[in-house]
Parts: sequence; C-alpha cells; structure tokens
Amino acid sequence: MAISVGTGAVSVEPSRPPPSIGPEPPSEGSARAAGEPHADPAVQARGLAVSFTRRHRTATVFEGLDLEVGDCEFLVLLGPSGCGKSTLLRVLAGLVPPSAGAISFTREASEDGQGSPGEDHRVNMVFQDDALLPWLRTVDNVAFGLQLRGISRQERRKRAMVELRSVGLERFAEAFPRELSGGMRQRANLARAFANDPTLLLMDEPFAALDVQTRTLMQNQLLDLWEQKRRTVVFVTHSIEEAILLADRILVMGAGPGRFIAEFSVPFDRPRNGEDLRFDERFAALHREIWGHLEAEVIRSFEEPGR
Amino acid sequence: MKGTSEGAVSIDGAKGVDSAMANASRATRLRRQLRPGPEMILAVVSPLVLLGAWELLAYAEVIDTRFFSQPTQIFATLGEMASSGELTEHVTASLRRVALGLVIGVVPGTLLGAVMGLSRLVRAIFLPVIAATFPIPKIAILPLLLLIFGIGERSSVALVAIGVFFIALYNTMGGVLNLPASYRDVGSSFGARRGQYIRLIALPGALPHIFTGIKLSVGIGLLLIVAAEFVGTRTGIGYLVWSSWEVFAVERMFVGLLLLGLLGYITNMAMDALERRLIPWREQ
Repeated sequence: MAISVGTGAVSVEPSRPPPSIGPEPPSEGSARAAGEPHADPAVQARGLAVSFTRRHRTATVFEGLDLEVGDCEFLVLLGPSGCGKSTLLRVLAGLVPPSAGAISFTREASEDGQGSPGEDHRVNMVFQDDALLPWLRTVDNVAFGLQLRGISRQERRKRAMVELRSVGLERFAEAFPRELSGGMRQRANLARAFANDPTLLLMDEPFAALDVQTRTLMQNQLLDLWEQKRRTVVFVTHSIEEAILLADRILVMGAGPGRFIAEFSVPFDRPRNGEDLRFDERFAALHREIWGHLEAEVIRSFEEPGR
Repeated sequence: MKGTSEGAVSIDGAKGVDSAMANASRATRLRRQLRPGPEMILAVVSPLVLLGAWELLAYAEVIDTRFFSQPTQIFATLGEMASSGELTEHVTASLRRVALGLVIGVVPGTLLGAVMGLSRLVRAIFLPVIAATFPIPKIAILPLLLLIFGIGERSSVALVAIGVFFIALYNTMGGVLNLPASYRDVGSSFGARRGQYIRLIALPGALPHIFTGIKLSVGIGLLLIVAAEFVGTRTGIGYLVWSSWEVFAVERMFVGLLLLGLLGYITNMAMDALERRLIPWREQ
C-alpha cells in the first residue's frame, strides 16, 4: 500500500539524483481518495532549484526537484527542519523565485467575471505564523484576497461570511485579530485562503504554533473543510501523524541538499476522523514505516545543525 | 457542516472555549482601564499634599518666596490674568503657532518618510542629507531662522515645523521599513500589485508608527515653541515666562510653567484618545 521511491531511500549520499516522482505507475491496492494524481496533474514542476549566495558562498537548498500534484489531491511534504520543504512551498507560491526550473499550472482559476485579466491560476498560502492583518476585522481579513481582485465590498463580505460560518467564526466577524485566540486566528487564515477560491492551496505548517488539543481540533476542521471544497493542497509539516491524518500522498524529504527520499500513499478512506484513525493499526504501521525513512535524516540534521 | 458528528461536536466545543477566552480578555481590559479604589485616591491626594506642604513652607518662610512663590498667590495671579484676557491671548498665540508648525512639518515629513520607506532610490537620495542634519539641535537654528524670517510668527512656526518634520519622517520611514515580512508575504500570496501593497498593506501597517511620530511631534512642538517665544515673539506662553523673569514677576512665571504642564498633559490625553479611535486594533 505504501510505495517507497528508490532502494537507497535512507542513503545519505548527496550526489544521488533525486528520485522522480513523476510518471510512476500507481501503486496497487492504494485507496487514493482523490483519484490518480499523475494522470491528471494540476501542478507540474520540473527541475526546481533554489540556492542562496551570501558572502560569496552559495548554499543550495535543493536542486533538480520534480513535483506533480494531482487535481484535488492532498499532498503532504514531510521532513526534518532544514530540508527545504518550506522553501519549496514558497517557490510554488511565487514568493521565492527558483534559481532554475519551471512550474506550470494546468487548472484555470474559476472565473467570476472579476478576476484580474490574464490570471490563469490562483495560489494561496496559509502561513505558519499568524499572518492576519491586524488592522482588518476578521471578516475583512477573510475577504482580503477578494478585495485585491476588485470585488465589491458588499459581495466580498457576503462571501467571507460564508467562509467564516464554515469555520465557526461568524460571531467574531467584526472582531480584530488581537481579540481572537491562536486557534481562531488560524481558522480565520484557513477561511481567508478558501474564500479566494484557489486553484492551489499551500499550507506551511499552519498548526505548528498551536497547542496539541487545538491542533487536533484544527486538523479535524481542515478535514471537514477539504471534504466540502476538494481543493488541490500542498501541506508542509514535520509531524508524521499530521501527515498521515490529512494526506492522500506523502512525500518524505531529506536535507543537504533537499530531495525526496520516499513516497507514501495513504490508504484511509474519506471522510476521515482523527480520533478513529489514530487507533487504527494500519496508522501505526505506516507511522513506523515513515519514521524508518525519516530517522536517519532527523539524526543528520541533529548532528549537523549548521547545514 | 458535513463530516462526522464527532468532528462537529468538537468544533462546537472549540467555539465555546474560544468565545469564553475572548470574553475573558475583554473583561480584564476593561478592569485595567476603570479601576477605582486606593490607587485612584492616592493619585488625586498626593499632588494636593505636595501643594499644601509648599504653601506651608513658603508661609513659614522656610523656602525663599522670591523664587518659589506661594501656590495661593500663583493661583490668584492666574485668576487675574484669566479675567483680563491676557491668559487666552498667550495660550491661543502659542497653540496657533504649534498647530501651524505641526501641519507644515508633519505632512511633508510623513509623506517623504513613507516614500523613503517604500523606495530604495528615494532613500538613497535623501537619507544622507537628512541623517546629517537631524542631529543638529533644532534650537540652535533659531538664530538663523530669526535672520531669515525676522522676529514674529514666521520664525517660531518655522522652528516647530523643522523640528517635527524630522520626527514624523523618521517614524514613518521606520514604520514602513520594519513592517513584518509576513504582511508582504500575504500581499504577494494574494497577488497584490504595487499600488495595492502600498495602499492596503504598507500604509495601514505603518499607521501605528506614523501616529507615534505625530504624538512625539506634538510634544516636541510645545518644547520648541517655548524656545522660539523666549526671544522671537511678543506673545505666547514662552514669552510670558521669559518676560516675567526679566521683570522678576515670579508668580506670572509660574503661571506660564503651570500652563505648559497643563497643555502638555491635555494634548497627551487628547492624542491617546485619538489614537484609540484611529487605531482601534493596536495592542494596548
């Protein structure tokens, strides 16, 4: 049910070319909820590289990465800190220009007659830190993407209220972010991203700063939301549990430079429920298997903190 | 909402907890603002005790009344000056100059500061000149201003304007430059164009700093106007203090000092109230 890419998946040779995640046959027996991503990719990235030059020294975050995300697939990038998973996400978001490679989006953004001309796709991001704009009330924060697209105040507020209701925040529509708890702010962030009707939704460890209980609630809420909306999602986390809970497919990343070391298909049916899943023995088995690939990477980042 | 019933229940549970937390934080904020009791009583009583002690010591001639007149006599002088209209004349003269100087200095200071914060190029052009002239104590250029504008309104207004220009500029520029990177990321992630970024993110994001600049400017403006009025005008609170010293009218001088303290306090309160209105999202 789980396929790992490359036999030397936990090998640490940096010279080994990153395994291609592209045209591989779908694994047999995988209960993929969102269809076969490779047959119908929403996002294709080829040969992505990012390197930074500082004081004449060039640090390569990753190079030659290929990535495909299926339409309406929930893809999770899992890896230790420093493996470049957040940078990869920022490249997909257009926040960091890649040093090499290209990204193509095959899905067109839904037209509501008010999109900016020439707009062929919409990529939105849910950030790890609290990225609500403090001067906007919750409803206006949620409507911010719509405002930038020139949608009238009345219309965008109406749509934002729908999203607020779906995350249970309608009573806090007129509150300022500082009046919300951490969990509420992240719910507002989710609502803001969904309100913009993105063709690709990126999430950069959105629940990492929350306490464990709130985090569990948020994961369930995200599962519910995704069930309703079925967006293409790339979600970054360092939590194996979170990855299994949410993903259709998990890409495990290693560091130095960043590369994909393993790929897993998550077999659980949707709609999923976090509490049930956590006690499923297949969950534990998958957890153990992923950890088997990740452990060496974590130890490496543990021992070479400056890398 | 679709999904499992357990999920729905736990989400509702989260809602309850969240709203309870939000209400609790609102309540503590209110308590912090309105807190009558021993602290408030002390705050009112302590200055009264101080004034009483001063009065007694002056009466007993323990302190020299040539320098420290009795509070009662100072208040009597204050009453006389108020009824003769002299007080209003000085206060309005000073306030008018400060207000004019603030408008003339803060508006261009804020605008240039914002542009300098947004544009590397504009910053490269103006920053050396501004960084070099900023450290000059503004009072030191008063003689130059008197030379240019002569004694009277224009030199005192110019001094205030020049002084607050720098304050407004530096605060605005700093506010724009130090915007959290996450605001920029949010803008880029939602496809904000340059104009949208400036209008919808940079300026509102920098507004707390801009306002701090304006608030400081009001205080600096009061400080500079007194210096300008010492030598450059025939009206105003600064003139009142200085001319009283020249004729040894200690009570009138203290009236001037009292007015300055009062004005500073009132403007500060007014600016705080304005800030709460204009920037309701700011953390208290």
